[in-house]
Amino acid sequence: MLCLLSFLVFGFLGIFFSSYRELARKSLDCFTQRVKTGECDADFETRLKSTIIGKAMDKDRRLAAFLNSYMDYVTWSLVAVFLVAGLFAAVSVYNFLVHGSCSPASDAGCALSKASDTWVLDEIRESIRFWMPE
Amino acid sequence: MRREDFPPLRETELTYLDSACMSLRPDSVIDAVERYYREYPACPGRSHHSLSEKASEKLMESREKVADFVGTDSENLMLTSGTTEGINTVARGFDAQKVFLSDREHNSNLTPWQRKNCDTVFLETENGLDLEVLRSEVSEGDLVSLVHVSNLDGMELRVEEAAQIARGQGAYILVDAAQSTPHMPLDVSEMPVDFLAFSGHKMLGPSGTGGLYVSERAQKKLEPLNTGGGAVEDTTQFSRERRDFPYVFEAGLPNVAGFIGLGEAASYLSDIGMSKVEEHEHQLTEKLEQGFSGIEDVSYVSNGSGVVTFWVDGMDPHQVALMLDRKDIAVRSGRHCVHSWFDQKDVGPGVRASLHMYNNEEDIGELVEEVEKISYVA
Repeated sequence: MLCLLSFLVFGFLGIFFSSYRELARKSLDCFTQRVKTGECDADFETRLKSTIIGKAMDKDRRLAAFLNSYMDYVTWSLVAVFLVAGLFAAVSVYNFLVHGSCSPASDAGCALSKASDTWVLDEIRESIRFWMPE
Repeated sequence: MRREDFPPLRETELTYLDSACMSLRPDSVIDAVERYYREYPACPGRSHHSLSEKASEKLMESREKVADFVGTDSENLMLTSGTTEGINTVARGFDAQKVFLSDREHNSNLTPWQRKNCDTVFLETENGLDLEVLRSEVSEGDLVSLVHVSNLDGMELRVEEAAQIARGQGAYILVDAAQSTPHMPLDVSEMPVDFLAFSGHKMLGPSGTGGLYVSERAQKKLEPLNTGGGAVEDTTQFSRERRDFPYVFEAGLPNVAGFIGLGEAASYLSDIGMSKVEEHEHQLTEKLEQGFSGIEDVSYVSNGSGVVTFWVDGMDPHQVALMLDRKDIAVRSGRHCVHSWFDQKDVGPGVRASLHMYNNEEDIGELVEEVEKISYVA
C-alpha cells in the first residue's frame, strides 16, 4: 500500500517538481508490480519505510514506534483520504465547468463560482476548456 | 588507530562497520595505485624499457611483501583476483573425489564444490568444529576446505588441528582466510596447510586482488585455471613449455596497479603489527557485545573476532540497516553469502557489524545508541 500512496503523492508532486519524478516512476513501477503479480518491490518499500520511520524517530520515538507498527493502516487511511479528496475535487471541477460553480446547491460557499466573477476564474475556466476534448 | 589515514573517515562523519565485506583504504595504498598509473603505467616482465622495468620491480616487491605478510616465499604465492578465484582454482585444478567443508561456508567455498559434483561431507560447528567426523572419514587424496574465521560471527575454526588430521591421512587442506588474513597474524610456514586463499579488498588493498598460497607438494597436483601469455616459457604451433609456479597460474597481464596497492596494504598492516590489530578489534568487539547485551529486543551471534550479526525483534534487517545508514553508520544486512547456514538453522536474515583497525570506541557507542533507539521503535 505504501507503493500506491507514494505513487499518488510523488506523482502529484512530480507535476510541479522534477526532483520527485524519479521517485514517482519508481513508485509507479512498484505499484504496477503489485497490481500485476501481487508482490511488492520489497526494496523500494523498505527504503520508503526506513526514511519515514527514521525521520519520525528524530522527532518523536513514540510516533516512530506507532508508524512502524501501524504503517499499513496509516497508508491505507491516507490513500482513502487521497482518493476521496480527489473524487470531491473532480466533482467540483465538473460542476464548475457545467454549472459555473463548484457547488451549485450552495453557491455562496464555493470559491470557484460565477458569483466571484473575477478575471482569474474566467482564465482558469478558459484554460480548462481549451485542454478538454470537444 | 590511524583513522586519519583513511579519506572517508577523515573527510566525513562516516561510521564504517562493513569491513567484512570490504575494508577502507589508507592514503598510502591509494597513492601507490595512482603512482603506477601516473608514473610507470607499463607492462611488467615483458618489455625492456625503463617504465616496464620499474613496473616489474614494483610488482616483484609487492609480491614479496604480500608473501611475507602471510609467512611464505613469493615462489609459493599465486596472485589472484581474490579468495573466490583462489578457491575456484583449486576446485577446478585439483583432483579430489571427496571434500570436507564446515556447515558455515561462504558461498565461495561451497558452490565451487557443488559444481565439481564431488562427494561433500559437512562438519558441524555448533560447538566448535567437529573433528571427530573428519578423523573417522578422511582418507588419502581427499580435500578438507574450511573457512578460517567465519564472516557471520567471527568464529575461528581449528584449522590447524584439522590440517594435522587431514595430512596424517594423506589428505590435503585448503583454508579460506578471507576474514582472518586482514585481522590476525598469519604464518603459513607454521600452519600445515596446502592452500590458503585470501582477498586484498578486505585487507586495506584494492578490489580485484588477492592471493593463493600453495604448498610445494600441492603445486605438483594443481592444474592452472587459465593459460596464455606470461604462463609459458616457450611455444611452438603445437606445444608449449610451461613456466614454474606461480607464473604458470597467472596467465595474461596481471592487475599491476592492484597488486602494487596490495603490497602497500601488506606493508601498512605489517607496520602497525597484526597482533595489535587483532587485540584492538577484540577489545572493540567485547564492547559491542556488552552494548548489545544491554538492549532487550536485540539478539546477536559473535565470537569476539570483530564480526557481529544481530537481529532487532520486530524489524526487517534491511530496514534496520537503512535506518542506520541515515545516521551515516554503514553495516550490511542479509545473509552475508552464508545462505546455507541461515537455511539449515531456519534463521532469518540479520544485520552485520564488522570491524577493522580504524574503528574506535566512538563507532561502537554510536552503533549501540542507534540500535537501542531502533529497538524501541520496532
